[in-house]
Amino acid sequence: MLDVSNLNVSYGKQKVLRDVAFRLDKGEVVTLIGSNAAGKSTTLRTLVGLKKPESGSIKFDGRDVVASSTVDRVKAGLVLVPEGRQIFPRLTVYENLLMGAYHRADRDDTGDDLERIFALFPRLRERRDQRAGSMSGGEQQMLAIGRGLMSRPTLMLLDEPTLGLAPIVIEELGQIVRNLARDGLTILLAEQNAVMALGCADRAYVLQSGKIVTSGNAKDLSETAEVKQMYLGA
Amino acid sequence: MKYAIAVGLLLALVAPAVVHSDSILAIAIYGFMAASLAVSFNLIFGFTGQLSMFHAASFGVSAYVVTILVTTFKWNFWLAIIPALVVVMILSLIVGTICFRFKLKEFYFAVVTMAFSEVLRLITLNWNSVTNGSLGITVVDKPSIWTPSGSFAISSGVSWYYLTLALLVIVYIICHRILASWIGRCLAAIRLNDQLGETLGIDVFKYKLLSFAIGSVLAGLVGAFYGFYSGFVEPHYFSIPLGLDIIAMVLLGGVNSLIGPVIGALVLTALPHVIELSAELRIALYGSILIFVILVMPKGIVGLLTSRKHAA
Repeated sequence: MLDVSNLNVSYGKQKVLRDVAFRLDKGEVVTLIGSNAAGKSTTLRTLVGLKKPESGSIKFDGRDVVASSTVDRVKAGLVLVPEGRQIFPRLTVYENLLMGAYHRADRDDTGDDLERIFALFPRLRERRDQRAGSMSGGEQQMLAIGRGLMSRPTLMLLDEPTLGLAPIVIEELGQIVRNLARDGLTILLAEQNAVMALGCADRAYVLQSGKIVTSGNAKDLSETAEVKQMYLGA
Repeated sequence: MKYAIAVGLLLALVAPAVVHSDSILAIAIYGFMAASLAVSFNLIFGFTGQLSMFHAASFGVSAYVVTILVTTFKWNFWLAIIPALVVVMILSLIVGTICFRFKLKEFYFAVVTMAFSEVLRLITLNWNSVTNGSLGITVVDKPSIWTPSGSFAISSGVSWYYLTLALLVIVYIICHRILASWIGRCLAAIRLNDQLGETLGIDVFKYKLLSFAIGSVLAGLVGAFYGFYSGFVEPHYFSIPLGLDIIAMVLLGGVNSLIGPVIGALVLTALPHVIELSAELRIALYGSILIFVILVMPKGIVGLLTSRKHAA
């Protein structure tokens, strides 16, 4: 479904990604784990077109999308839920969700999608008309994911959804990711929290200083000494 | 708030029956035109987050185009509005495309639009054969409308009062319709976080340009009438102080509302006439009031009124 090869990205003279390559098959949950400044966010931003790569190819559904705009990629079903729980704090929960449906031709007919999202996140239903900024961090993250779902993606990119959240909320989030995958959504999860990420992913890539250093089955990876030491705190 | 607006409009409609003073009518007429400018400016500034310094230029260009077409080429006033608005639209699309393609934001956008505005002012000032330079053009014609009993010239204070009130209502309704639609939601998304907007599939460039062009064309619409009421057009119309006046009206009234700029414009238009002081002192006092208001009520008059209501 997604095939990335030889991706090189720089900010000015600073090389941030070097020959990054990975792929995702339909229905998979794949995680990209790495510490701060490893290049996770840059990878995701490049995938949706917010950052232009120097070289490399990004094939989405067999089509190279490097040249197409963010808008076109969103329309094709590639959706980013950005880092840091980015929502519109002064709009209500409902308005935030609605914004996710913006690019759809049937954007004024979102009743079913809303129902589905409220079923997934019952607390959003309770807070439907509340200002999004007044909710807790966990709720805001659910809202950001819900908004992403409103655009009916085929591939969802989650950028550090656990950042700054309480352990119990992180656990809940892992469950949500698994539920979404069970419903057929393909997910690329960029995470620093390797426990959570490896817990809900099928496969994993480890990103270090802009390079992919290891990859493999999530379960196997969590047992290698290197990953254990660096990311799992063992 | 809705009731307050309805009551205000109703009072405005019956006012000329009670108020016979020509000077009060004139203040109201200038107030309505200033309010139309402020409302259209706020579409770009308050609702899209782009501090345009091109608004006075749009206003001035349209005023000149209409005046020249009517006085030199003897066009009908109403017909002349169309090419004036087309010119403003083309100019705003050019300026907007340049600014938004280069992703100029905030201060940079303000400075570049101000530069374009100055270029237009200097052209107007120096193109003597067409614009009559710094002297400006005196407008003696008055627009007229057709009624079953023959054509009726809009020359009296009362007729201008209703014409400019209608102008304000039209500008207000256009902006209201835009903001209530998906366009309004996209503009809000761009204002609050344009990169996030982009990840939702919003074409940020397109909507910034749309808002800038619509706001500018509405300013042009006001400009078309302005010269015909005041009786002259001059290069001062393009000036930076006029642009700053519009910003002051919006800030005073309240940035995050549609009605705020109307209130701000009416207050600031009336204020210099209410305060009876020598000219220098009046300007100083006027400036002080502005500074005070911005420091003490950052959300403007509307923000103050609505927060009181919530507190009660």
